[in-house]
Amino acid sequence: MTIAVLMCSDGLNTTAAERLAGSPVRLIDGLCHHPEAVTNLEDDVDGLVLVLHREEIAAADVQAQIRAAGLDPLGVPMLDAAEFTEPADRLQVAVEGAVARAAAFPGSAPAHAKPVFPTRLTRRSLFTIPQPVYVGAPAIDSLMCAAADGCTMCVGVCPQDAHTWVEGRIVYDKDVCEPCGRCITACPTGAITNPAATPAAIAAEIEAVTVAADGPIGVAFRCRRSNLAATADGWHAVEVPCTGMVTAPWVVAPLLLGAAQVAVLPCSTTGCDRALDAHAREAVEFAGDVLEALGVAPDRVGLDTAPISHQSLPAVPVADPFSARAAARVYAGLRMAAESGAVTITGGAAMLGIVTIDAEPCTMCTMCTQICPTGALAAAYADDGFLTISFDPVECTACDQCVGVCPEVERGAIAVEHRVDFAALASGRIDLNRSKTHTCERCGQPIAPTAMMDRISDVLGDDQQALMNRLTRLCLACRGAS
Amino acid sequence: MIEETPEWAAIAATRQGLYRTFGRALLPPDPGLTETLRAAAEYLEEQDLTRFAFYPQWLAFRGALIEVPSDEELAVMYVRLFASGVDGALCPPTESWYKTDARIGGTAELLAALEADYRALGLAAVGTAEPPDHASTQLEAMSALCGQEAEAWRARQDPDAAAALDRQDRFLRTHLATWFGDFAARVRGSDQNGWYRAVTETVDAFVVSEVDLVRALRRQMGAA
Repeated sequence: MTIAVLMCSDGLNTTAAERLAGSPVRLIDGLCHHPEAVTNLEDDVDGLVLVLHREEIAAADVQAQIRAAGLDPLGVPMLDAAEFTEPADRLQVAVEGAVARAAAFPGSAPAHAKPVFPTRLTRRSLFTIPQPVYVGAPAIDSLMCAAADGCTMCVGVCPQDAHTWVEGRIVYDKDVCEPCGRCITACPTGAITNPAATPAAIAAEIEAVTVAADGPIGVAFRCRRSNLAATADGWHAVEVPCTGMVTAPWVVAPLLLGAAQVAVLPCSTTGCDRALDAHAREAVEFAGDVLEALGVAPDRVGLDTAPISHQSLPAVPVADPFSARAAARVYAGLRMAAESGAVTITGGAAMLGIVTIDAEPCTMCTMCTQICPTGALAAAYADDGFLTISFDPVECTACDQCVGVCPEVERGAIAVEHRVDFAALASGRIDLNRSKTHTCERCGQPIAPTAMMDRISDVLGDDQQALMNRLTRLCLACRGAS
Repeated sequence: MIEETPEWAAIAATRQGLYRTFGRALLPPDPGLTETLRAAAEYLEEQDLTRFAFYPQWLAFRGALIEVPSDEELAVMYVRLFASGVDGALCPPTESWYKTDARIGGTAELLAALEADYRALGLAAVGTAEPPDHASTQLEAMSALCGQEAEAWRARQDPDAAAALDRQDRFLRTHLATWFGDFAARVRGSDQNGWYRAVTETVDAFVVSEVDLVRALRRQMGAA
């Protein structure tokens, strides 16, 4: 795959320009004001990286030229040339990252693009409506979405109420969405994607910059709307739709890809007004707790680009570390890198959970297994006529929906503790509860678990025993036929 | 008062042309169809379509225009996909088929409501043999609404342009955008030759981007 890199050379000092000669970066005078040069790419170019002065460009014009070149603007990383006027080494590292990101771009459709009108005021903009710029927006794969089972995770986390659950499907209102990506990292099935910031592209970028850097490098997640012009020496900024989408496993994952330190730059430090800081802070705090529990310096992660004071951890290959349900893999990889024993770390941002069921109040209605979007909770009939509810901690994302749907939750039937429990993760699927099942005297089909029948009997009281006898003897179909 | 608006007048006029071209492509084919579409596409290509998010799909449409099946093949494909078949058309190009149950009279209700909507928009379907809920009729209606918008921009009547955008927004969200995706998906699975698949996929992408653009522009005008 061939990725071209074009850089506006305006303002670049001679030394830096000379050092870039021979690199993949092609310098073009005045590119920011004449983006039509983008259309002069060779035919074999599959992707593009632009290094432009962001404050000076007409972004809509640049996007139009990218389309004219037969490429997709959402798949063209744009670095700010203002950040790279002198240190050519840092630019080359950033370019390697951007090239890897461009190569991992999966393509997009109009459903993924949201028109946004520039908020920057210019003299001209006072008298005319500017052209819109298209930004990446999430789209939902209905085949992967678990809304039909009752999942509403995206609905719950969206700060703009852009998602609504309607009769077993999610209705997404792109118009009110200000793509922050919270729904993407909250979705337990990975059904929501934004092609401008896919898990694969983010992993590819980080991997590339850690390989390209001469020494230890820090990775700083930065909001795409950030007004931070530069990152500190030794750091590379990875743009995400919003740092509020960054989870604790995301904070840890770059360490496994070779980063020495990780920062999540909160909205309040970057000029972004979304005020989703609390999520970023919680994620960083929990990641620090995990590091500490595993004997790794917790100051490897933070909310600012502190001086680089650590070497990289031993690299541990982890498949798709930023994808949905990667938390168990990421934490296990960190434990391997740290050569630590099994520990337990509890916290709301774990993205992993341990479900417990109290057999006494649980009626085995299995609603928890039906809503579980990942299959962590599962129900199965055994040959001996028992119904079993089992749990696999590796699959649990601590979404808590099993608790929300449990009709006996007030009696303490089910609970989820948000924690990373390495011993539990290693033990695999376990049975949480089982109950004998009443079977139909006539057709032999299961009627309901004994635990549920006992609960119904309690509710109905002694004077309804005749009804109970009938309920426990015949299934619904045979009752209707009799 | 927004003083420099011809840019948006040109964009509205281009969108008017796109809707009309796509509407024409989904009418029953006649001997001049291919040449008409090629000429229209050539003209539209000169109107800076790279501004539109659906440009990659437009390029696919241009590519498909190079090898349009013969008139005879087109006619057979049209009938097979959209007009008739053993159990009716494979992919009826009408809103009512996707949104109503004909057995309980839903089609008539929808058509009556649609006719009322056309009247409220100042439109009437004349000179067409297609029903009012046919894709080509609805695309032509959107074309007319874009024409109203372009006229308002040219006359520097911002409130009229805003009103035209409101009408487009309402029509897209009430009618065209609510079913065209399902229609295109059906064509995707049924068209072995590829021409109508290319057309409907391009129109689907265009309609999706239109819903976003019209709403965003209207909101921007409200804020201006």
